[in-house]
Amino acid sequence: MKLEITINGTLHQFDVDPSLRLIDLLRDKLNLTGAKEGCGEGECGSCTVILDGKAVHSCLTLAYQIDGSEITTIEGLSEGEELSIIQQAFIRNGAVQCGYCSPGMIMTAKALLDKNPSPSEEDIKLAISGNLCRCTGYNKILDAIQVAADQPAIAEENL
Amino acid sequence: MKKIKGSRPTCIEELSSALASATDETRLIAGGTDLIIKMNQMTTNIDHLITLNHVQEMSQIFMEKDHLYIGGNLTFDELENDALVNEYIPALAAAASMVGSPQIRNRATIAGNVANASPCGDSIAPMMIYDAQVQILNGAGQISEKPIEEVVIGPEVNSLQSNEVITGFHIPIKPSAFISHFVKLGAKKTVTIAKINMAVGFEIDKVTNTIMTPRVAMGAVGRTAKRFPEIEAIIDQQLISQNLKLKFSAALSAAIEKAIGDRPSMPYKREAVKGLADDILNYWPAFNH
Repeated sequence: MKLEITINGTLHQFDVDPSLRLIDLLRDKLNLTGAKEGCGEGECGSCTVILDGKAVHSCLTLAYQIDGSEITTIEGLSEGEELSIIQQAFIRNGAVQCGYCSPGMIMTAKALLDKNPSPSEEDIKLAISGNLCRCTGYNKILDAIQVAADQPAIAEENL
Repeated sequence: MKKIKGSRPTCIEELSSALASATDETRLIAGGTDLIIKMNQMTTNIDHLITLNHVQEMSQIFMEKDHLYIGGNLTFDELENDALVNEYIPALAAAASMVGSPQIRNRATIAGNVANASPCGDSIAPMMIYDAQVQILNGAGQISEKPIEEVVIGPEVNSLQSNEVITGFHIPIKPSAFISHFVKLGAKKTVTIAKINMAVGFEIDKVTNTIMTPRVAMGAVGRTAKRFPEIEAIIDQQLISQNLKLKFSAALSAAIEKAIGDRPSMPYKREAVKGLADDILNYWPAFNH
């Protein structure tokens, strides 16, 4: 099936088997290995990417279904070597240990902050309820997202 | 590996055409949050995948004269936040907010949840208490309607033919005084399959402070979700009081014992439902003193 999707700002054209999952398109065809397959059943969130502004499990999305859509992955958050505010906040606040959950967690955080720039702690907890972390105990992740939310928007542009 | 055919219809006519050649191995997919798991586990043979995401008519929600039409493609995130759903079928908005994770709610659709027909499916009990009608399209372009109880007929068994698809739902509008809510008990607080779920609705007679026209449905305590007329009869026209809460709890408990008597989970669920009974009634100020 012919497929046209924008990934991290670049338009791509593919011809795919209908059963190809988005996570496999990203990892195997584009070498965007930030999204990880932790479970393959929508429980862990480590495959989370942003599809047309919404956080989704890329392991539960077929590529051919999303013709015409825009995807952002973790690789699309940095500008060259400049990390985004959310990424910097995660690193500086101890929210990254093994890093396996981090791409999915950060994309979930980005989807949240794009929609709700001033989330409460409850909003953040609900937003990340679909992302598991086995290392940090979540507290530092909550802190990092709150810190990122508190940064003025203009700092994002200056990165 | 067998080559799979893919279809991506953009309207009802194209969907019907794609269904015209459907076989037992044709699969419909929208959110994919149930089907892709089965595909990963390789428990299903597929010759043709038809994706529903682009069928415009299935993404609509609007009022008709005395019905609310909910298109089958509406996601749980959309249902949770939709003003019409919150006004006319609030139990469904509540249920939608508790399905899966935020990521799943951004993709999973109401038609998929009903067609998947899990005994634990969260959208089903709310739709049962509102007598939802299911709109079905077939490969000959014909549209029919069936009550939801005639579509969800067994554990992960629906009554659809290979060439049929759920395109939407008609929800009859109840009187504006009718209120409803939904609660769910799972192993975890969020991102959990229901061990028991429950939708309850009723009107309150403000003069006598009694329950009127009660509706009670539960899921995950039988082969399908279902309404419980015997529980409705017990609470009908009863004064809102501590005594009513106890009667309601006892009735739910008895119903579970009868429904799943020989299941290992019965002793747990028979007790746990009492907590859910409190949760749902205490949602309304009338029950809180």
